[in-house]
Amino acid sequence: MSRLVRVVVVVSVVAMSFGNATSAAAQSAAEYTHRVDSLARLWRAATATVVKTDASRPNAPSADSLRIGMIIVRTDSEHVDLARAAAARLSPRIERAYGHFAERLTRHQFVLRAKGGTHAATEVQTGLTDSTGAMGQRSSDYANEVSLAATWQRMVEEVMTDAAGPDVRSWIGAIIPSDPPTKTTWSDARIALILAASAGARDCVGGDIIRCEQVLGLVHVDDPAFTFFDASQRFTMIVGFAHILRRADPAQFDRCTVARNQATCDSLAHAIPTDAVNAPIPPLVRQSLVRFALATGGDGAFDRYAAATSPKARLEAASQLPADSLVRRWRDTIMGAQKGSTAVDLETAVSSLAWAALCVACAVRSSRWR
Amino acid sequence: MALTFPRWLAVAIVACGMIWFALFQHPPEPDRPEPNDDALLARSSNRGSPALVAEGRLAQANDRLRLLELRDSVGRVGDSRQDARFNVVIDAALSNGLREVLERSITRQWVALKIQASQNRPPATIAVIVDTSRAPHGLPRIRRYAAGTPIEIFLPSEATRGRCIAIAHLTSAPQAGAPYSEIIVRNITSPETINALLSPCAFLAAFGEPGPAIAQWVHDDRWSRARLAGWDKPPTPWKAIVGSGGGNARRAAWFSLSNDPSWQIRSFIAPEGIACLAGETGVCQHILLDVRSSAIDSAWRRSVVASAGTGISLFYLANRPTPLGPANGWVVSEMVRTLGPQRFQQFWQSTLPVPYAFKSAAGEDLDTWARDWDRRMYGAASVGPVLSAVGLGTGSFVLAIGVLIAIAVERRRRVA
Repeated sequence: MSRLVRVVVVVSVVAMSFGNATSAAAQSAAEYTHRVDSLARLWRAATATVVKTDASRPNAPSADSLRIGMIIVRTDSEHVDLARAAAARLSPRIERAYGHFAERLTRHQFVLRAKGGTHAATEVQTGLTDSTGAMGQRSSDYANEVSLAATWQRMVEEVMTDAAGPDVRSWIGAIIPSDPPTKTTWSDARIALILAASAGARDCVGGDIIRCEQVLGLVHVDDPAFTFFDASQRFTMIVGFAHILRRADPAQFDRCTVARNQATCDSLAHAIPTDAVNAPIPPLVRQSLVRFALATGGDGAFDRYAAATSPKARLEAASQLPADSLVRRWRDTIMGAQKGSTAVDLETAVSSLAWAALCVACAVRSSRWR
Repeated sequence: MALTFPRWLAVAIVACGMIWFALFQHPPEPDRPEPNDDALLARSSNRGSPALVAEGRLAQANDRLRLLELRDSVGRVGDSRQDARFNVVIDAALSNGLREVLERSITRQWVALKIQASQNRPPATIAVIVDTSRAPHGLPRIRRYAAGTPIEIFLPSEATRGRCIAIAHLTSAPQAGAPYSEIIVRNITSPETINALLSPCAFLAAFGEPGPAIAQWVHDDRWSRARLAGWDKPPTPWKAIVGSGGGNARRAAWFSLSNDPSWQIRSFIAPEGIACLAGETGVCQHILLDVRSSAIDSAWRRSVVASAGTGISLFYLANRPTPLGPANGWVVSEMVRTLGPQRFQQFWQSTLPVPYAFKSAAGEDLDTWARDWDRRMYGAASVGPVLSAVGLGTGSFVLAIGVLIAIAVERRRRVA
């Protein structure tokens, strides 16, 4: 029996059994036992006949493919030159950022093909297949090497962040960019840290390295709502979860929010699961610490980062520094990275006032009524 | 052909007519049949291989088999109790303290509802159990996602020997020191969970089987407007919290849109609900009765109500405003409380369609009652352009400054 026929048979049998199962009004344990037995037989049969359906793959890759460094591209002959140019542009950046770990990228293949339709001449479709051949991260792009390389770079960052470990993305809350950090990276992190709405972040800004380690998630904190936030910030958090906490117990909620009973508010704050408590700092700050550690560690930093297990161990391995030293240096770096004041400078103030005065003068000294 | 005035007029009238027709005359929308169970599942589980599809269906059926086994087990315990009209079954895996609290809370609320024991009404068994089984019968299982602590209510039927059985199930017994154990205890004993556990069994025990139109309404609605059995006291209004806009308002600048009370309420109430609060005729009744009949999973849903109490999972979901807002589950309980048990029973067992049944029993139309309820819960709302107090004050201040400057300038002017 050919593969296609087997697929059709299995799907049909399963579908028919679903139809029967749906129409039956069996709500007794005996009838459900019978149904479960039938479905279990079908499931075992289907599991035994695991068929990879080419048809379910959205884009069967074309015959042409090319490899530059760790980048493998499958494309049609029409787009080979574009694919080669984009890959050549991207490849050195990837190898510089990820070192030997970039070999993980060879488990994936970029797919590039014509978009079709009215924009066929100027746009292409692209994506990245995983080890099973399924294509993800699909997107449309302009058919030029700069734009395509930038799109592929974002795809690589997604893949490499996940390949480094399942905890990496959940800890940072973002991807690890492959570009080397710049002064803007540190300046943006500084602004994000200063503006973070938590008492813990404020202490970190003030130079408390232990608090920095806490808000960065490098040391375990049992009670984040009380460790990172003051009473006023916790109150805001409680009100933000009003749709859950008040529905659960309106009397208790009103004792906190209306009568302002602090003990009740503290009790309500403990009703919020610790991992649902707002993060004390935005992802950008943790992301900047990872980038700092990778930049500090030099060659092989990403390999060491990916090989370690906990966030703290990863950073120490990548930077080859103890965590407290790393955090101190990172904090000094970002707090020293001021892009300049965003406040209104004297020149702007004088200029604005002068123009405003001119407008007022013209208005006041207008021609007399005739 | 010269464009004379009468021709211009004729063209203008025709054009206006065409615009009116295009804007307001739409062909009736064809009925979109609800997809059946297979089509529904196709969206989520048919994307994989046939083996995955079969596994998904098997896991769902296996979960339901497990629930039916639990139902039968709980039902047998209920039948064996001395007070067979109402009893509470709490899993022995829970601590003695928690069992006592649960039993006391559930019984106290049942007593508070003043349900008269009657042989004509279905007996009720309320159970809280710990079901740790991940692969019952050695087969995969998919638990229902309940957005809270899952509660299954098995309506009275031959299979339950006429008993209404409500089961709240925990996936593990809260142990001292275990993660979230305090929160789990708090959630399972919250007033919301207790009230959710008692409905619909309390409605059926107090008022019997609903009339056909009412039964269809609550069934299509999946009992969401009757999720909570709490007609012993009025629910506390949400006016204060809805007016403050939740946590967003405190983060926003005082002049921002999200700090505007007429905007804040939209964090909790969907636009149809705002129209109801604003007094648009017919809207309140419409949103109360606007429930779609669905053929999806109808055999199961006919005899099992899927409800939920307070749960941890809610903290990870975005809050979506609904037309009836966060007090949605209190609507039918409030009908009982405001109408009184006799008149509510007349409504509940009426053979008339819902609005007529309500008017006949309550003496006022459903739209008016629903608007009053909505306003008691959330306060009145306004629609359309409104000048805020801050805007009015600022505008008046700027105007006054302008007038003063104009007066000063005018006094210094000399006309030659």
